[in-house]
Amino acid sequence: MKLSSIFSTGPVAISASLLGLAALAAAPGAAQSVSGRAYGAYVKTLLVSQPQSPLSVLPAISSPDGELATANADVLSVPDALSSDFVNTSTSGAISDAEAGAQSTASVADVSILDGLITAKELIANVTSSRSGSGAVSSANGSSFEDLTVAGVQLTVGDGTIAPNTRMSLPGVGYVVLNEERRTGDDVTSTGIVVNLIHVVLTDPLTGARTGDIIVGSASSSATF
Amino acid sequence: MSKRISITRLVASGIAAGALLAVACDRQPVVAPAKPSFWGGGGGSGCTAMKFTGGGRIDPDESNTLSGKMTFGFNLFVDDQCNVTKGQFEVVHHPSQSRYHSVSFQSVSTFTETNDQGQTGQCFDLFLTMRAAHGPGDFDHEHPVEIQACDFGEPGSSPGTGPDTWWFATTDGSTGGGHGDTGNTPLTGGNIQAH
Repeated sequence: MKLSSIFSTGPVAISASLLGLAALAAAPGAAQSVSGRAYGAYVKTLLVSQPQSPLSVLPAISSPDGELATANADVLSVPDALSSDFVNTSTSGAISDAEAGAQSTASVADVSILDGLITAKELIANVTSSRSGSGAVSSANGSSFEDLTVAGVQLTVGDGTIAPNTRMSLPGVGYVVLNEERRTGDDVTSTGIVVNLIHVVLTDPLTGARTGDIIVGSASSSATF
Repeated sequence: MSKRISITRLVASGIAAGALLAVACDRQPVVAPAKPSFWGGGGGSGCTAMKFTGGGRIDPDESNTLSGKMTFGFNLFVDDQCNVTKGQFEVVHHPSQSRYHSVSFQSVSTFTETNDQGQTGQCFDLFLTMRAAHGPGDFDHEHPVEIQACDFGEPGSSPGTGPDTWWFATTDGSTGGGHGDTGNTPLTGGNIQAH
């Protein structure tokens, strides 16, 4: 419920606004929740598949408590789709009487997708969501693409950033969305973010129908209070 | 470090952990851990029972003995007797492809700190043992480590400016990639949450 929607004239409206303000304050035991998830890669094509891996999922938390989950892999490869190494994922979160927050990280090194069509020295997806007395906010600060190359074009030199939801055509393959970002929540009592650093959508060259997905570097977090 | 009885209770596996030490890093004689540059009197002066949870990224520059991308995640519960009642840390140093994971906790303190922007933060200073791997393969040796972190409010990070901070240092004098001291570094991303 946005603040702007509860302010209007008259005694009834004033009572309603006070109720609204009370609702925005932290109510211990109210619907507080956090979530976090991170994985290195996911592949689903007509020929091969790889579930989200290595996968970190934040366990359910009740106030007041916090948790951490981690997962790692030395090598993550899917024939004809993906090769990578030094894959690390982690997610942490906590809920207290005053705030709730979660943060997730996925990093993948020496990435090569579709036999070198897309390469990167290292990808780091880093997200955080928090809800406190100062509001609800999510961000993807700290996410980066190191030496990213797409179809022979180098897009970053060293560590760099790509604008959210940058889409590039991959002729004969489909398209790729770089720094794919989706946000959830009302940014008042809830907030969330999902970042997929590289999301290749495979399509049939004749019909354009979707035939598969390759996702590398995914991290998500959310907080509701 | 002789400050409290709780140290003997914290190091439950200290003897066993020592037996597992493998010489996988160049080691110097053990020296007393250096205090961070913003030392505010923690590390033995007492505790307020607190919980800290966080994760994120720092990019310490080359003026530090440990520089380059570092990501981390952790959970830490401290009681008012300076006991770690719950804790887990994972740290990754990307340029050296080093991973660290907590094994045991030797001592901890909590304190408040005021930064250059006048913000007051809740902080912890922790001495722990972490298993380590430098490159592919399983964890194969351990290091004593000191970690300090501060929660200066929400949101915890913006590129290069924090305000939350993270500091990581191996304290046994080991040299080579993945060892050293990051210095007190603002978060490039993520958040430290004191709760």
